[in-house]
Amino acid sequence: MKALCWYGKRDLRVMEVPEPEILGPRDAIVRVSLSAVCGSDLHLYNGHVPSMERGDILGHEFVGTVVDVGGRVEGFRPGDRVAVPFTISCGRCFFCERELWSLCDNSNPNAYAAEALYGYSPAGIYGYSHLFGGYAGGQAEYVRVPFADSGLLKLPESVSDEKAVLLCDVFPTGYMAAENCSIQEGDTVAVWGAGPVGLLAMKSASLLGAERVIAIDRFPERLGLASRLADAVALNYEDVDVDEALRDITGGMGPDACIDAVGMEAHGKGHGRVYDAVKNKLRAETDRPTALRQAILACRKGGTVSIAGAYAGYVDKVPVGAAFNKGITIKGGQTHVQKYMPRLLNLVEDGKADPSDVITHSFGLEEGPIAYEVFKHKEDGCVKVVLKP
Amino acid sequence: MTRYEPRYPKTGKDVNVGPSERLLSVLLGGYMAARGVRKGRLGGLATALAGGYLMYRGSTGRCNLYEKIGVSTARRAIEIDESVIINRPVHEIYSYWRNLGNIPEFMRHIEEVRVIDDKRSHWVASAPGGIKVEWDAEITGERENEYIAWKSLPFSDIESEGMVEFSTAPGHRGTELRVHMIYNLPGDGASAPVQRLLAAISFRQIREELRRFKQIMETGEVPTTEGQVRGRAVGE
Repeated sequence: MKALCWYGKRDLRVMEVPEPEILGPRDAIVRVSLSAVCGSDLHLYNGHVPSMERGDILGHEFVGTVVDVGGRVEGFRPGDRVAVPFTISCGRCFFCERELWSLCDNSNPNAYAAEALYGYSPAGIYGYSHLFGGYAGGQAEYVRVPFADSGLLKLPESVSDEKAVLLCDVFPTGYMAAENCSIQEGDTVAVWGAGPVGLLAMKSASLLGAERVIAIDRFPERLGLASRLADAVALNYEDVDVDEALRDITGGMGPDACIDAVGMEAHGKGHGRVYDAVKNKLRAETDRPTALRQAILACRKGGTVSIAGAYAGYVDKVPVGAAFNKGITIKGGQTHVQKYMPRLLNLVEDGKADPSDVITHSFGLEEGPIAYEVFKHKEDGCVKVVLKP
Repeated sequence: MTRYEPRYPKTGKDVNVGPSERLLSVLLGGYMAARGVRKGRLGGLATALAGGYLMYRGSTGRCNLYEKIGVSTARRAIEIDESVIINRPVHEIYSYWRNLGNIPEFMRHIEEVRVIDDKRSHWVASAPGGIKVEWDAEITGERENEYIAWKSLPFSDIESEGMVEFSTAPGHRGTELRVHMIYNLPGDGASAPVQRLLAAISFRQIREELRRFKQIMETGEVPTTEGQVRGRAVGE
């Protein structure tokens, strides 16, 4: 089969590899009909996530059809059309039982490595480095799904692949980011990053009762999309002082909640940008937290900062004094996808939300390397890319 | 208030002086120090300092010279104390473990445990290089759903003892399992396979073994990526 493989920083290759096989009794094999490229795939592409190995198959957002199941899979059989959450979860541990799916105790075969970095290991993730299990991803024709019974969602005929593929990560991630803001009727929510997760976080914030949503980005097309899809007030941080603008919009009070939908590769401008760039080069800092710093400083007293963008390791100069003295709640985490998928599927089925309007580009799987470049440089107004095997 | 204390002091990794030599070192050092101080002057001071070092060496069991030249007169012992919480009731965990034949399912350094009768079992461990170390063990104490203790019988390749304790974890979190295992060298010398086995056992390995046990009890399998497909460039 064809698969998109990581071969090094900005070096992806479409390879011919053997088809995956059932390795455990609860595995399923899925023939992929559509996969997507996620913003966090770009972190791998750009070489920011440690423990990638040459030949790793990428991709953690995909939908398809079950073609084979292991002996102990109960709820699925060949022919079922399914969406696969990016978090691999056993369904039986302390964390899975509490719907903290991305914190599963048992799904990371390389838990010792993650423990060395994080203290305790999170769940395994498809195609997302060996720190998260080294599982082969779904930017391929076929993929192996461990713990199928707690890792698959059956899709109704009425929901297209394009809509369903966004249920695997970005829609739940945006939704959880908004839910973590404990939104009260009438709140103002500011969102850093108008990429797919940011846009869906804005939509979710409105669904959850936010009265006003503010989008912060530097690409006019993305800001345009934020205004159009989520009715957001657009701030281009290259044109305005974000902190001042947010103060101004909120009558000097600051946003009730701030969502960092950017993560570890924030660009930003000014001294912070230079500081992080130098420290990244010296390998004294793994991530660039410009958006997180701004979010904490801008947030109103007693408000919430919700982190949806991925961070990998260590960051510097995060204003903890501001967070403490303003009594800010900080929440984040890899998405507990299985918790949100069914209710978001309902919203999609009922026509109350259509996440697929963030998809701007579609490529064949063999054009994967081009798709990553287009997505990375946001060429041609690119927001979200899908790949067809 | 309950104070936490490690119940089994871990063997200091750095001890490289054997017990009888440590005693000798302290006694001789004390004698030298006392004499040196009584004598006074420069030669006396040197004797006192040397005596002081010997006392320190004896009391800590660490010898810098031994370390430099790579000598150790301490008996090698591997002592393991690890715990894990498993999201299953105590009786399930206890009965799986009490069937000692299950142990190789999750302890990869143990190749086989053959149950001989209600108390006795035959253990086979594999050391790197494919060499086997074998011993007979006997259950020395047990209480259902509470603990199992075992010890190797005389004339074994290796002296080994272990105890595993089971208790209900607070907050409905299933079972808290504590494993304590010791591998000692029998007598003075040790055969090469036994030394190789001891060198290969590490805390990380034991943690991984307990993790596998937890995975089997909670999910019924050991999750793996071994054998999965990946891209390989031509010739790689």
